[in-house]
Amino acid sequence: MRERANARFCRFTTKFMYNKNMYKILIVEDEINIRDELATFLQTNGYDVQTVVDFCDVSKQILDSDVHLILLDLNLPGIDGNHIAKEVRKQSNVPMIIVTSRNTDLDELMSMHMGADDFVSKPYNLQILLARMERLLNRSYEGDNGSKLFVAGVQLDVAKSTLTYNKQSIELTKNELRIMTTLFKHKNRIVLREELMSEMWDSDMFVDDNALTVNMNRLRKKLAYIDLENFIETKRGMGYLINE
Amino acid sequence: MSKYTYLKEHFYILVLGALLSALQGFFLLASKLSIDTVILFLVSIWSFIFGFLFIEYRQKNGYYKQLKDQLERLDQKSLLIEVIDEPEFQEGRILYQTLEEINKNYNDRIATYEKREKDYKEYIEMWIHEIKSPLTAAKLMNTNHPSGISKALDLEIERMNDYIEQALYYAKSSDPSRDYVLKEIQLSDSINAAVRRLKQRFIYKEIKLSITNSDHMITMDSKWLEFILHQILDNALKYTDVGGSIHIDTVVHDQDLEVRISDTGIGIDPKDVSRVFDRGFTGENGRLEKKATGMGLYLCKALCDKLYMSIRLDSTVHKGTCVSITIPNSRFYKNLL
Repeated sequence: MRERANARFCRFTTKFMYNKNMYKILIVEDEINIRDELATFLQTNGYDVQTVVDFCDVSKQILDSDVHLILLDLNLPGIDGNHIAKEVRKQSNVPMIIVTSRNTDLDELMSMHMGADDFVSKPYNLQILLARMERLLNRSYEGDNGSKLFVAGVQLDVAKSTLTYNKQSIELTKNELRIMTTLFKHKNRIVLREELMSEMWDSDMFVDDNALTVNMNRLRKKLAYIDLENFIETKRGMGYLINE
Repeated sequence: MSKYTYLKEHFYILVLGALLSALQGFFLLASKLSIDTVILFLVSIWSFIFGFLFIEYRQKNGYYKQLKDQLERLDQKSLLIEVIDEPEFQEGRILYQTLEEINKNYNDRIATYEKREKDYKEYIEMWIHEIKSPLTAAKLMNTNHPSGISKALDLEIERMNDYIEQALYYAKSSDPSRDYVLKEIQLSDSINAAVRRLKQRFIYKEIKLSITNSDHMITMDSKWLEFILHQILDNALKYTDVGGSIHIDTVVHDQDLEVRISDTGIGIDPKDVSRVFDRGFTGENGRLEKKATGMGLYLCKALCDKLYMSIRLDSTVHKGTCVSITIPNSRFYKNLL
């Protein structure tokens, strides 16, 4: 069962990878279940994942690896994650997100002080974790380029909030951008209305069902300007789909 | 210590004095001594008796009066022994030493309980961090292996997390130490974070949410505020029917800022409104909703008190409920430090 699921995910992963290099993520987490499942989850979402299994000299392992981002747990056997963060920060600027079950403002301040770039408390909202990782990676490695997504000749520039097709561009509102980004990331599969709403809520756009319909209609009209009338397919009673 | 009572208690001395005077007077007169000598003798006996009573009364009255005054003055009565001196006379010393002994014993017992409570709180906090690991693992597994029940399971995991948070803040609310960090934060960040956690329920119940005027810098512990807002919103969601709406508005006053969370829910019976912040109170609505524990608003109140905020609830049956929390301005907290 597990293998089949993994196989499915691998297929999905290759299909899923959009025009970006595979980022390498290092997970430093001692709970085996979390480590494995998080690795699977990140692989599903298009990342190349490495894990630390031996907790002797973690900072050296981190410095020796050539990963793009570290997910660091604070409660490690025999060592405090903050200490590792501090050690790593002395020699490297690799982006680090602290992922921990400690969740007070004091813990957060402490970790940021030690050089972490972001702080996410367990049990995390996975979509939010992904969003934070993506933001940090884009900021660290890509400048503007990282924020461009492509489907069937249509280019979505997330940073500039524009959609370009055949050299014609339209500007998108915050809500529209979020809708398009979600559809682009899940191209070739139906995105449920509920899923869209959930994504928008994660970005602090608290739309209800009616507002989503309104937004969707407005977006379609805009798309018509650049000859993309049927770019978004509607699956009645289910959701929306864009195809490569 | 009244003079009259003192005399009454020392009545035997007066009786003995009278008997002695009578006896001595009789003998001295019988021995043919002059009446002057007898009177002189009697006067000296009585001045001795009264002198003794007077001096003893002054000494004891002085001490016990000080004792009583100090006791009245003290807020913490058990500190009495710290502010009085050991007296010069023996019965006072016995009292003093007894008090001292009792106090010591009492302090030891308090220290035991304090330690026990502290240990318990530490354990609870550790436990809460521990339990988050399996919860995170469960959530990840649920996401990685989607099935027909994934969504329902996700909601259950969220509920578990909510109850765990409640336990954590319960431990914090009863802790006398200041367990929070005050810093400049954006009010809308806390509101959004609290809302985000409840998104599934908002979407599932098709409840319309509007947030207005939330862009303000405030001085607060963002996590505590987020927890309080989460509790209030959780209630609003629980008691608002499908298709209803929730509105979060902020009003700025001179000294403070008021966040109002109003819903179009079933409202609260007027006779219950005054008791909603009581520990364990569930009221009429709570009985309808079997899952009500009566802890949510009680905790909000306790945490607000610790943070110098105030919380108020207004409600009309069948119309809705409005909970407002008042947050003092940054100046207030700066003066506090």
